[in-house]
Amino acid sequence: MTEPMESNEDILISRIIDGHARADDLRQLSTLALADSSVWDRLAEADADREALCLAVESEIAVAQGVAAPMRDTEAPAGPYRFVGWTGWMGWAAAAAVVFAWTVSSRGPVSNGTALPGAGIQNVSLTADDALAQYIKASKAEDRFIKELPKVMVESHLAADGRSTEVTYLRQFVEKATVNDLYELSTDEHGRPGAVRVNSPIGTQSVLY
Amino acid sequence: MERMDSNPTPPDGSGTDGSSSGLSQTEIDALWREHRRWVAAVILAHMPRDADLEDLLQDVALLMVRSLHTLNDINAIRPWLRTIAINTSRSAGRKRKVRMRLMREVEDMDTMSGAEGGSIAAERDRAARLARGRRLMEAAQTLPPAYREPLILRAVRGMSQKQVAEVLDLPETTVETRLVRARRMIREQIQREDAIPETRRAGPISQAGPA
Repeated sequence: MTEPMESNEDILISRIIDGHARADDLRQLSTLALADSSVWDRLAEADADREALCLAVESEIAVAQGVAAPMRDTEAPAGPYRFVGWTGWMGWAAAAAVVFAWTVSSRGPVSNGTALPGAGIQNVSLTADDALAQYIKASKAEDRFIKELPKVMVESHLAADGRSTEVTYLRQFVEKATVNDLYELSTDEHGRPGAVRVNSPIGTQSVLY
Repeated sequence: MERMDSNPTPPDGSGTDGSSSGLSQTEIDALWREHRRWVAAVILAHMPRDADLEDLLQDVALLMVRSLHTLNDINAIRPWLRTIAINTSRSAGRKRKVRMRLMREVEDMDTMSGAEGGSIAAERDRAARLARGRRLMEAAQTLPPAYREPLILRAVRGMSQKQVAEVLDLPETTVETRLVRARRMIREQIQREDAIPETRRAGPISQAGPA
């Protein structure tokens, strides 16, 4: 294909959909439309395509929200440092979650005896942020909270008000707990699900997830 | 209106002597957050089709942090980052891999499940626009890079024509001309595809010279 020469109509439409049109550009396009009203159809189609391309590109580059700048070498562990995105540890984190969830459900909450602020109170009026801040504070007091990972945006689109952007994101915490028994979900010879103790030394073992 | 990130941060040289060597980790983080979306778009414009954008973006982030001290003028960071992004994209041909894409999964699930948080009609409309957008992006991938890159950069929400010109180190008028031609070329490409059976759809547009 040879490189096309842009027509005056192409230039005017491109300016309009890009928001750079001057009054004279609009007048010129209106004049063209007097002779050929399908100019308006082409303008509408070009604008719809511009919007569709934005949607597709934004969908692709949304992963950028989850990519953080790594620490500088002087502040990072020796050797090549690579930021580990959520996809990198999702597998073992999920496995750990299964094990840990089972353990908790069979043993009850793991605690060193420190009372959680507000524990047992049902009708406390807190915002979600306040409640989370309290949780993190209590989790730190229990030496359980390690850090919060960077948020990972999974989707964004124009909000209902037509101006702002509504984002859906993953929010993840790294925590640790000390448990006495580890179980994993497995199946017996008949394919029935059940809990199987993980073959590890009996006693205290740390599980991170 | 010129917001380029959901976490807008000031740096870009302001408040510094123009040198990049004295930036703190916090400033580097902010710098990266400010630029990472359009850097992703540059990678998207240059990477092999089956490369993983997230991996390449992480590589660029790493190179930026490691090499920032070599950048004499922080105000020139856009062309500098673009060069890193293009070089990283080109090197991706040696380590291609296919990975499941979270975004695609989420979108597909949304499309299939219909309407949690929105009407079925709105979801279908969005899915149709996204499908059209992906087709346009496919067509854009067949354009010569000189046309493809400004088109994809311009599709980054909040990125103005002026900012695209800064990244590409080109006059705004040249960017405008390339955008007009790029739009015309992908429109004609799709019209040609629609005119022939799917099995016979052709490959890339021949490498025409830039404006």
